[in-house]
Amino acid sequence: MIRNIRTAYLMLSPTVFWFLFFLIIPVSMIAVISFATNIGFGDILYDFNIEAYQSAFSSLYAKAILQSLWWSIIATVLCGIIAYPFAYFIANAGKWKNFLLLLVMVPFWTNLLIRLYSWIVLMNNQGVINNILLKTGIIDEPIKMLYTPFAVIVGLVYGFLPFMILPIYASIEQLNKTYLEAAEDLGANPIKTFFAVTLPLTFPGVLSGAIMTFVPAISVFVVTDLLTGGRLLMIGNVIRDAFLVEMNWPLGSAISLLLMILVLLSMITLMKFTSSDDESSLL
Amino acid sequence: MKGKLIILLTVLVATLVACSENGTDSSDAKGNGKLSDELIVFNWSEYMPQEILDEFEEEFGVDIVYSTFSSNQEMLAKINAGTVSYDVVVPSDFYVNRLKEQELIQEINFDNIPNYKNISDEWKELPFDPDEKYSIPYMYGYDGIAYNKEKVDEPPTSWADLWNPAYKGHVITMEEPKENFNMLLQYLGYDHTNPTEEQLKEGGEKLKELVPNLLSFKSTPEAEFVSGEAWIGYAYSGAAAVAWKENKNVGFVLPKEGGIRWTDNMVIPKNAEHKYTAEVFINYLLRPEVSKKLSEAYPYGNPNEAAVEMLDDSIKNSPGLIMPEEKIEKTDWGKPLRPEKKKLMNRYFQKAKVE
Repeated sequence: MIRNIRTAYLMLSPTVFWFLFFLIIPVSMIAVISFATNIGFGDILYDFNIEAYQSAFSSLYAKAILQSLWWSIIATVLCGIIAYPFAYFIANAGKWKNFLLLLVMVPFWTNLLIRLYSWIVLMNNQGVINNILLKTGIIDEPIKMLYTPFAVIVGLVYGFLPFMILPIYASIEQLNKTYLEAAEDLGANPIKTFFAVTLPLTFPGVLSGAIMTFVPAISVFVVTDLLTGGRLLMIGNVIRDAFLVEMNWPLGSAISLLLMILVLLSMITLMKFTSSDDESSLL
Repeated sequence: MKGKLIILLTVLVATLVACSENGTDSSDAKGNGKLSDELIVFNWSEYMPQEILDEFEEEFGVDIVYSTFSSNQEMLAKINAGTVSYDVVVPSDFYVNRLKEQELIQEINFDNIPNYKNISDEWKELPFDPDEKYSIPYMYGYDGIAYNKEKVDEPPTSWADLWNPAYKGHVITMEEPKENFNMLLQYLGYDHTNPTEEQLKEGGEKLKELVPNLLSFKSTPEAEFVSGEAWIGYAYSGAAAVAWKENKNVGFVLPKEGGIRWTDNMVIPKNAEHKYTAEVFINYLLRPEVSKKLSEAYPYGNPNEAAVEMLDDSIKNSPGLIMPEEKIEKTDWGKPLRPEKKKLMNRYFQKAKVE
């Protein structure tokens, strides 16, 4: 028996090393640095200091965090609304299924930066969208899209939509069709079946999709950099600036750590809410 | 189990340590006059035509490992980390000073660089390296006002023109807080190298007034000026020159408040493993015909007199390339701020964006 446990540990060891070297040690380093003293130009003094946290809790950063939180929540909800029908369609597309899934993945083969640049071309005042609308006479003056929060939302939704589609697809795909038949046999119309059976049963997919969209969306900084010309800030920009512009490592580490905690907390809340929900909906 | 784990851990740590201490065959590190097989160059992005590197490799049989950075801070962080032993690095003016203070760069052996004579006197004995020991200028330029002659009737004369409501939504400014504050403080008539907290605050408020007028914060606004979307902006002379190549309506002026001047400079880090080869490379870059190619690809100011003489008139006429002497004399050098001031400055910069 002991021998077995040993083998088990041994086989686990790659995972343990992975966690140790790529999660626990780096995160603890961030934690240590966040309590160190900043002496400028990227140098730090390992003297206990909570100055970084005092700055991190200032109203300026609270605003930046709230803004990012708000935009990423909107983007996640929009992603969910767009992705669900998408995933539903793919899951029921029969022989086209694999091809459609491939199409969802193809954009990933191109770097996000390049794809965002193409949105600049699309949303510019003299861009493709405005030109089409002007030529067809729908609008008289170009709509200002680039450099606004609207552009941020577009960038976030576009960038992270596949993260939402794939988990929802997986859960719809795994849905046991006999439930649907049972619902039909018991006299439920398709709409009722969808809301009473399909949606609740595939909700875990929506949830994991939401997490996979929300987490990268809240910390991204290229979207605001490119699509708003640096005029708007997300918390990712603030962290990047703390490290690269201000060269204040303790501050950057402190905000990173706080963001990590915030994301973790929101995930726990989300799961608490939905897990109890799930059970009741299944009953 | 515990024993095994510890052994495994030790092995892993040992390998990591061994890896980081990559075997140095540094016969060249002292600069003993023998070319090495390899040279590691660290330069700004979009700042070196591939052709120049290829020809060096061919002529000297040295492989160049070329990597780029996009800000002085990034460069400093990477040199500080010391994981790659760069041989030639190109920091901006006062970062040379900073690298020297941190003892991260070493003295250059000018005996190996006879082409240094090509550098014009104006760009020698610069304030960040007055004894000319550590650095050799690569390119220079100005921070001033770029504008589109079709959209801006009179050539701009002052930073105040950026706030002109007639240009609403078509004004560009730089990305970096420090550069913006150089401009803001100079506009307000303060010393931007050593502002007080009050002055920084005032600068931040001025910036907040500018934000509604802005198209974007962008340090590389070439495309916006070419398309005509940007009418006026606080920009590098080099950016104006690049845009001018495509759109002859783009001009560049230094404002009456002065404007800023800068140089990027070649230095050799202390832990360079191929010092002699680095010096040969620098000497090669200073050849007039090589330096000319650099100017043709990236029309910033070139301190290489001999190369400038060889340039076509079409390039010599680029906006901002050759400036009247009295204008140059009025320009200031930028200087990095002390950490606590810098922090405050960033706060005001971000505040102007968030609110």
